[in-house]
Formats: sequence, C-alpha cells, structure tokens
Amino acid sequence: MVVVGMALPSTSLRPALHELAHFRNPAFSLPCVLLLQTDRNFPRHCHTSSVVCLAGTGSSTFRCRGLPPGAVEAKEDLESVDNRKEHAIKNGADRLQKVPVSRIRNFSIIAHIDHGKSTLADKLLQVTGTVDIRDMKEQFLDNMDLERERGITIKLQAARMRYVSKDGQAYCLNLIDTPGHVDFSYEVSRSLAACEGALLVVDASQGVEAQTLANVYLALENNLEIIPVLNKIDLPGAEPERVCKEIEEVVGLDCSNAIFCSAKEGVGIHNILEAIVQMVPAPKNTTQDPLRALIFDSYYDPYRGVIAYFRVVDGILKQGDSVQFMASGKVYEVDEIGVLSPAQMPVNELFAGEVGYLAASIRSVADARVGDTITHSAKAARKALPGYQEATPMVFCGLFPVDADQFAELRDALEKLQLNDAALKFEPETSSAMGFGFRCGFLGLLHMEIVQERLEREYNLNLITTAPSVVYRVILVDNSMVECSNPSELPDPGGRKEINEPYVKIDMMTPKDYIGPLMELAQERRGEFKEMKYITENRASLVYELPLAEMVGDFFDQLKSRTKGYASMEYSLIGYRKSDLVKLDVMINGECVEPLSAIVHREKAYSVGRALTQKLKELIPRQLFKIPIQACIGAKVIASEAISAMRKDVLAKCYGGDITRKKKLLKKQAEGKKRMKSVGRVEVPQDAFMAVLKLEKQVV
Amino acid sequence: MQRGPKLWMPTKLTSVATTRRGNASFPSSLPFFLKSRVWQFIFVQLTFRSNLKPHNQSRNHPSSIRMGNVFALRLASLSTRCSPCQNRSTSTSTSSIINSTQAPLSTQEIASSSSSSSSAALNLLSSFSPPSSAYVHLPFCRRRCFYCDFPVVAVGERSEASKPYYDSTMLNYVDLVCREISATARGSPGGPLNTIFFGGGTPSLLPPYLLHRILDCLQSNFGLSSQMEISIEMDPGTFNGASLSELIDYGVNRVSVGVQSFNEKLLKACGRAHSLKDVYDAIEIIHSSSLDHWSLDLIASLPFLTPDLWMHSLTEAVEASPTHISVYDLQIEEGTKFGKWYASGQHPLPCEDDSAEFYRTASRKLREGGYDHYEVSNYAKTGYQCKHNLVYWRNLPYYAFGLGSTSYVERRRFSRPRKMKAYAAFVDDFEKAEGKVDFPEDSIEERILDTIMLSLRLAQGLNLREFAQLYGRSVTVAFCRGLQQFVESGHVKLLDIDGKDVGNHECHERHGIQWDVVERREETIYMRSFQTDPEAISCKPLRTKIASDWQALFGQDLPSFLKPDTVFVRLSDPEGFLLSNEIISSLFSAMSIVK
Repeated sequence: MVVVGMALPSTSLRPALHELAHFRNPAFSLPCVLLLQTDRNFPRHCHTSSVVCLAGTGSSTFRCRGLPPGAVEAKEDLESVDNRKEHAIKNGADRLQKVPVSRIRNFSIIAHIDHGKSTLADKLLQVTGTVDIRDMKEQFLDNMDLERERGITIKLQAARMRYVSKDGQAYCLNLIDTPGHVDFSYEVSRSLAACEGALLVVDASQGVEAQTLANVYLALENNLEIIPVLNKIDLPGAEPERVCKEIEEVVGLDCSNAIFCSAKEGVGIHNILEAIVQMVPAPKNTTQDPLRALIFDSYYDPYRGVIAYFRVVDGILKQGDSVQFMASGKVYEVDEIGVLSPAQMPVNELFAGEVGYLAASIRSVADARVGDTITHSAKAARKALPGYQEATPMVFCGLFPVDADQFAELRDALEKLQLNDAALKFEPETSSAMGFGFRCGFLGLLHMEIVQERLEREYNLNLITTAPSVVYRVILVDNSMVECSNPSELPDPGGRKEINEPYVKIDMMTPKDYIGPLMELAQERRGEFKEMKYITENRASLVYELPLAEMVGDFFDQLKSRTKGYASMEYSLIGYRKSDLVKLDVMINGECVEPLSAIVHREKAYSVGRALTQKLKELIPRQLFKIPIQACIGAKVIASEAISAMRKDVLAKCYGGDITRKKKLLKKQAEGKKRMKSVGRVEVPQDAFMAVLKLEKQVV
Repeated sequence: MQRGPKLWMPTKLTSVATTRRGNASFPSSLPFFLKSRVWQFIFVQLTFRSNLKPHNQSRNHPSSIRMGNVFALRLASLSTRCSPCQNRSTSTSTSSIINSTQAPLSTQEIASSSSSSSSAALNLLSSFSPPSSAYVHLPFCRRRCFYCDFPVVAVGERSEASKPYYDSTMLNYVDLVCREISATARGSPGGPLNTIFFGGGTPSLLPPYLLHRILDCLQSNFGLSSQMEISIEMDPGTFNGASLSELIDYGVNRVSVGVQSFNEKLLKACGRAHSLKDVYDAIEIIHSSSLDHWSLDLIASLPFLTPDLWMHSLTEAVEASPTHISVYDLQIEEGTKFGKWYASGQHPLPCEDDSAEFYRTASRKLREGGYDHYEVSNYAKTGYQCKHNLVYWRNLPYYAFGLGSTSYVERRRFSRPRKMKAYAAFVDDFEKAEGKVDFPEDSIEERILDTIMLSLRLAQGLNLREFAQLYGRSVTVAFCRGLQQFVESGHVKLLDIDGKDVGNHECHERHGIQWDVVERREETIYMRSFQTDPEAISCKPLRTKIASDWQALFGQDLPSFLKPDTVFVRLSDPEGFLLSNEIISSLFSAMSIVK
C-alpha cells in the first residue's frame, strides 16, 4: 500500500507521520489508507513506503498499530464530554479483564428488518473501542458475504465490549446481535435466552412494524428488560415523538426513557451505553453453583472441531476442564475457552453471566447441539437448563444439482451448512427428470433463498430448485393420516378422504392508504379476514388467516410491491385445515412429468394449468413431431397447448470445404441436447424446468 | 493399417493382394511393410480415382480414357515422386509392376484385385494419402452481398481509374497464393491433382492470365491428372464469351454460375452486384461456349421470397439446362447486413413453414427436371456431380490455398487467416517452416464425427459396414442407438447394397445414387461371381453374409430397426434432409456417450 501524501489535520502530528514514513517494515502493510491532500513537505521517499497511515473519520483518533512503542499515538479532541472516557480504552486486551458479575450486562438488539440494528451494533463496537476504526467496516458483525450484500443479518453474532461508565466503573457488555427477518426468529429466540436485556430499535420515521412486535413479544417471553431506542432521528422524516406514542400504544412499553439516537451519525450512542449499564440487570451471581452453560450457537471448524458459543449461567468454566454435554451425555476436555469480541480471544476462565466460546475437539455437531447444557463431568449440575424448541421447517423444496455429478458435493455442502444452521432439514429425493437431489425444509422463503444462495456461492454448486411446497396432511379412507410435502407422494384420489393444509395467521401493518390493495391480495390468496384495527390514525393492522401454501409463493414480494414497500408482515402457524386441493399434473406428449406436478386448490387449478402449459410451450424447442402439452387433474385435461413439429433445420453449405465451423455449430447443438432431459421421446431443456418452477412460485 | 483402430473384420491386405495377383512380379526381397505400403497406395489412388469417375463413361465423357491407361499413368507419376521413405529399390519394383499391369487390366480386374480389404484400407489411408484435390480462394468481389460472411475483399467496379489498383491488388494476392502453393508442395507433397476448385469471392473477377498463373503453379508443383475437373465460380456480369473461352483454353472445364435468383427485386434485396439481364446473358454466354459441365447456383429463402417467385426461379433454372444445380439455403450469419437487419423466420424472411416448403418444392421440381438430389443442397444430371465437392463429403484430403481457406492434409484441418495482412504473414512463416504447419492431427473422435456429418449429407449416405469396420463395435452401437428414433420417424432410411430401400425389393428407386464400380467395394467384389445371373445379385449368399456380419458385430445389441441386408443409412429426401442439422446433432450427442 502506498501513501501518496496527506494534509495533516494538525501540525502536531507531522513528526509522527514522518516517523511513519521512515518506518518500512513490510510486515505490517495494513489494509486501509485515507488520503486527503498532498503536503509538499512530506518526504518524497514515502511514496513507495509500505507503511499505512490511518485517519479516522467519525472519531479523531489517529492510530498506528504495530509500530514500535511510542511511534504514533496521536489524539485530538473534537467531540463533547461524552467522549472523554474514551482514552481509557487503549486496545483489545483490557476487554479480557475480569469484572465482577454485578458489572456484566448481557443484551441483544431487536428490531424490524432495516431499522438500523446492525449499524447501531457497529457504532457500539466502535465507541467502546472494541473494533479499531481501521478495521471497522459497515455491518461489522455480519461477516457472511451474503449478509453484507443483502444488508441483512442471518446468523447471530456475539461481541464483548468494555465500557467505562459515567460512574467511573468498567463494565463488561456482551452484545448478541440477532437477525431481524421473521424467518430467523428462532435465532432471535436463542440469543434472547442468553440475555437479561434488549434494545428495541425502532426507526423514528417508520414506526412500529410487524416484526418489531413479534420480537418484542419474544423478548417479553424471556423476561428481558427492554430499552426503547428511536433510531435514525437525523432523517428529515423522523418523528420520534409520534413513534414513541405509537410504541406506547401498540407495544405497551413505557417510552418516557426512550433514547433518541442516530447510529449512522453517532448521536446518542453513549446514552445507550449508559442506559444498558443502568437498566439492564446484572446476571445473577451463581459462581458457586455447579457449572451450567447454555449453548446458543455452534459451528464446525475444520481444525478445532465444533466451536460452541454459550452463556455461562451458573458456576465457572476453566480451560482444561472436563465437561459433559447434558443432552448427549458426551464428555470432552476443553482445549480452549474464550470470549467473542467479536473475534475469538482465548481466556483462562469464564464466570457465571459471561458469554464465550469453547473448543474441545468435538467431532460432531450433534454432540454439542444448540440448546444443550454444558456442565462439569465431575461435579454435574442436577438439572439441565431449558433448551430451545427445535425449529420446525415450514417450507419445503427440492434441491437438485444441475450436473448430476454434483450430487455428492451437494450432500456434503448441505451437511456442512446444517452444522451452522440447525433449522435446515433435508432428505434425499429422486426425480425422474432431475435425478438425485434433496428435499429440504426451511423456516421460510428467505431462509430458503439464503440456503440456496449459500450453496451456490460458498460451495460452487449449480442448483435447480422446485417450487416451494408445504407439508400436507392427507387423511386416507381408513382414517389414517400421512404427511406429504411432495406432489408425487400424494396418495391416489381413490385412497384419500381429505387433504389438510397448514394455515397461518398473518399480521400485516400498513399505512391506511394501502388497506385496499392488501385486502385484495389476501383475498386472492384464499385469505380469511379476521380483524382490522387502527394502530394510530394513519396506520392499521390487518389480520388474516390463510393457507401457508399461498404465502410461500411471492406473497411477501406482492405485499411490498402493492404497498410501495410500506407494509410489513409477520406470521405464525395456527394449524391444519381441510381444503379442496387437487394434484395438478403436467403431461408432455402424453407422459406425466412428475417434477412439474403441483398441489393446488381446485379453483386455482385452471389458471395455474394454463400458465404452466403456456410457459412450457415457449420453452420446449420444436422437435421432429408435434408435442401436446396438457395440464390435468386426474384424467381430466384442464389446459392444453401444442408445440408444432420442427419444419426445417438444413445443414448449411460447407463453404470451400471448411467443415470446421459447421461442425462447431453442430457440436454446440449436440451439447444443448445433452443438457436436456428426456421425457419420453421429448427433450425438455433444463431451463424449462427451472422457468416453470419459477412460474409456479409466482402463480401457485 | 497397423496404426488404425482395431478392426472388426481382420483384413490382411498384402496376403490377399498377392494371392489374387499371384503371378504379379513382386520382388520377394522387398520388406513386408514396403510391399504393403506400395499396394495400399496403389489401391487408394485407384479406388479414389474411380470414385470420381462418372458412371457411364462412354456416353457422357467421350474424352475419358480407359481405366487401364489411367492406372499406368498414375503409377508412372508415382514412380517419379516417391515418398521419402521409399528407397530406390522400391521405385524400381513399382516400375516393374507398371509394366506387368499396364495393358491387360480392365476396370473389373482392378476392382477384383483390390479385394475385400480395400475398403478398410481406403478409408484408413485416405486421409493419410496425399491429397489430389485443391481449393483456391480468390476473395475479390465488386461488393459484399448482404448475406455474405466469407473472407472477401471488396474492390468495387473495374474502371479505367481503378484498374491499376485492381491489377496490383490481385497480382500481389496471386503471388502470395503461388508462394503458398510452392511451400505446400515442399512440406506436404502430393498430387497429381484430380480436381481444382476456384472459389471466392468472385473468382471471375480475376483476369484469366492470373488464373493461368495459379494453374501453372499448381501443375508444376503437384502435376495435373489428365481427367482433371477444374471448376470456377463465376458471377453474372463479370465475364464474357472471350474471357470464358480463354479460361476454357487454360483447362477450366466446369463453371459454377452464381445466379442466386431469377428475380430482379430479390437480387437487389440481397445486395448482389448483378442484374437479372446479366443472369440471362451469362447463361447465353455459357451455352454458346464449348463448356459441357456447368452449375447454376440458387439461394433459397431470400427475403421477400414467395412460393410463386421460387417456382419461377426453379423453372428458369431447369430451363437454362445446366448439368448441375446447387440450391443453398440462406443462412443469416452474425456480422452480416442480413444478420443486422433480419431475424430468422420473421418478415421479410420467409417463415419456417414456407422455407421448408421451398426446400421440398426444389427437391421435387428439380428431380422431375432430371436432376438427382445427390447431396443436401446439390442436384446433378447423371454423371455430373461435382467431383471436387465429393472430395469434401467423402472426407478425403485436399489442399487449400488462399485467404481464409481450410485444408485437410495429413489429417489436419487447418484454416488460414481471414484477413489479408495476417494471411500474408502466414505465408511468410509458412515458407520459413518449409510448408509445414504446427497443428494437431484430428483425433479418432473427430474423424468419427466428420464421417457422420459429411456422409449423411449425401444421398448415398453412410456405409454402416465400413463404419463398423473402421470404428469398431461400441461406436457403431452408439451410432445405431442414435439412429433408432429417426429410422422410426422415417427421417433416416436404410439402404441395401444396391442403394435400394431395405426390405422393399419391389421399389427400385435408387435415390439418385450412382454407383461407381468400386464404390461398392467389397460387396461389389463379392457380387462379381453372381454377375452372370442378374437375378442372383439380390440372392441369398450376399444377404446372408451381411446379416451374419451384423449378428457377429452386435450380438445381443442388434438394433431392432437394422434389417439384415442394411449397408447404407441416409437421410430421407426431403424430410430427413430438411432436418439434417437436428438429426446430425442428435447423432453427435449420441456419440458423446462413447468417450
């Protein structure tokens, strides 16, 4: 990295920078440069220097880590009194210092998606000096590429911070960052169980949204102290007072102490930290009790085995201890324990109330499941901590490798993903058109999308996904019940008495202008109107009950597009109900194509059938003979199209004997055929399957 | 032969040859492999030559010489230009063979002498044997037609003002070509040439004396055979009686006239540089010349083409009574004006259905007019197939010279640069490398695909027996699997040894195939013994032999469609030809499993 020149914010810094420029140890070429303006007095030879100088933006600290002692530590005061304590924090090491249990605060941040949770977390890390400004990047805790790209949090993350409060005491704050999307609420519930308090972040311009509520209720269930924080007060549209009122009315939370902040601008961060110290209760001091620690997350590290994240509830855990996992009964010796800050920093011991990680050469994630309790094998606790409810998949889809050779890779990838994602379920599936693959269960559509994308991206797989489906319960004539999530497994019409499908209660919040369009949407999706109430003068909450199958399609997209993005939603499963469902088959040239079958409501079968056949007509290339494409319910054809026979595809002249060009084209054409799946005599391109599946997602 | 793939029916060329011609003066001192090499070479040249010979010599080609003489001539030239590996003694022994075989051999005897093994030998060696065909690319055009993506140099109309530019450009180019020819002769000697094809561009734009120079150069480097076919493409409006007769004097004996359409508007629409009047004038000029063999080229499915206009073009084409008609389908290529303006199957281009109908009409109409549909887009009166093009389609080797041309020498398909500067640079390097190109030989897989793609263009189709001999069981099984659906759908037809539909002995339609004597190779020889009794030709022994061979080859995998006496497979006319791309690419895809 090259420093080209810079204007120095203060002349006092100049000598330090000179020193920097002379310092040429290549071992610490650091990742960030901020250049302002060329200073002619700056030494010429520094142009090739590998030394990096850092300049902060939000903060005024100039820091150069790795330099010989005393090389550079420049500081300039810009901000208010709030910042005065900052100088106490020099580097990460002090975060490991022990504080009494009474000065530990475990908290998480809950918010509706996009209300600024991750930005606030960033600022907290920054202000407490947990992360160097130099290393700071937006959404610091979202370290998955996908998270950063989409601006969402998928995995929970933990970070230990040290904060010296106004009373002069140093506190240990453990932040457990959580995902905001409804699909990942199980992650939220896990992190909440490890905390005593939560920051409820609400966008000061948007107000309470559906997931705000859902998450607040989760937090209340866990008996957490909730601190309302109104974020984004710097925005022109911010109305913190109105939103405060909204929170009080809708959530029933006292907002007299609500903190107004702007995480982006760094306003009010210290107030938040103070509030955490003041309001969030300290964990109970149960250091003397037998060890009990709750695993709230785990992942597999190829070198160290399973790494479990846990919160020590009672007792003390030391490095080298022999521990037992109470659910699995397995005993391991702890190789390493440490805190997450947010990088893993090894420590020797962890007390009750602290949050940390352990590595014990655990080979299988099953041995250290999330929700399990860790105790000492010698002095075991009598009772395990209440674990988490296992997340049940709500949405299913088939995942098939485009290239059949990738089946084994797909299996390995799914297994690895499952290590980090307890909610992901899968089982092998075979399809005549797509070969071997897996039927996977997900918490919701976003979860499904994320998993697919991670598989494709992190494991370099090329996947076909079938339309998402739900689990139907089929009552057979003998009154026995079978569950079925795959249309091809649906028992024959003769053998079944009725089909029940899962229903959800859906809570939509919207500005009142969009009530009409939303009702229309819910109505289209076989929704049953339950309730409508005005939260405030301009915002309403709509409650519908509708089949989950109707929601797994593009319901959320539609909700957003019909309300210009203003509405939000939240749903919960309410059980199974009988429905008039039929299996819609697609026949190509008289042969039923199983992967294209769908279970649909009888009333919708016609439109779905028509859309499917039309799409297939577009996508299947003409062949030597006429191909009828039909959509049928049982033997009854409800929609039909036909692809006329190919008329002409004459081999062109090989001009001047140059057969190479022509051969290349023929080979390309042949290559295209290899990618087709034969359905009887008809060759159907893979694309057609994919496009139809996409279409199904939209219309089914 | 030892280098070839494992043969299904083991053949021993040398032993058969010596037993058949037991009294030949074969020096017993010769090493075994040399004997076989010499014989193979002779057979190859012989069979190849007779392939190109019109069916009915005496009627159509009064000028053709007797086979025995050809044989002698061929061997004479062989003795003077031995391949480097042959030592002196070989040459003398070859000469002695000439003496012994010169006079008494009749065509039939030669055929017999080539024995049952010759077909395998022919195909294995054909691409190794030196080429006896040459393509010369002459890229100059007055303007680029809207559909054209060939390597072309547009030079505009020839006028007094542009003459010096014209002449110097062409002269320079001809120099380059001659240098390439000489270098090639050093690097890959071959010949004598049986066919030469001047393609373009518009070769008729080249002043005849320059063409003469190229011919001279070819002659001095490779030698020309006495039965030479020298073709040239000519565009209406670029030649007159005088220039044509000058060309004829230099040895040109086949002209391919790029008429493209008999409609003024269509000619305009595709950017041709000539008018309809030029077309009729050109036909007139040819008729009044001594030229016997000429082709009229049409393009089907031009923009704005209607069924009526197409019928008119076909009628006029037949009316002009050429010996050969080519009907090429318009291809919309990327980078051409048409590519920019039009999308396939959309107005003003005819829709797919119309376009298919144009093809059917052409096939019907021209066959009614007495032309055999001998290749996907070529029609010829009996005996007037284009020998040069047959070289391509039979996957035989050929030289190529000039901008952007592709040669097939020593099993290497090599394409020259398509830009003049790059081509000039190539010729420089080529000369320095003594006429050798560093380019990989085609693999066996590529040759299999070539064989499929090329032989299925022909009405004669693909000789499945030969295919099986050359490429073995698994390849043939895969090929037949690929064929199955098309045989069932009627797009592929199975022919017996006589080129008749199998299992339909009543039908004597021969699909426009002209069977040269040696074309049928082993089967022909096998049949000789029955020739006294015409009825016996289709008699049991031969058919039983073919059937038992199939049984031996496939065993349990014998495809259900394969009738016992199947020898050839071809695309049906017109339906199979119409979908040739689709069918061949399906076969390609079926073959990919074998690897």
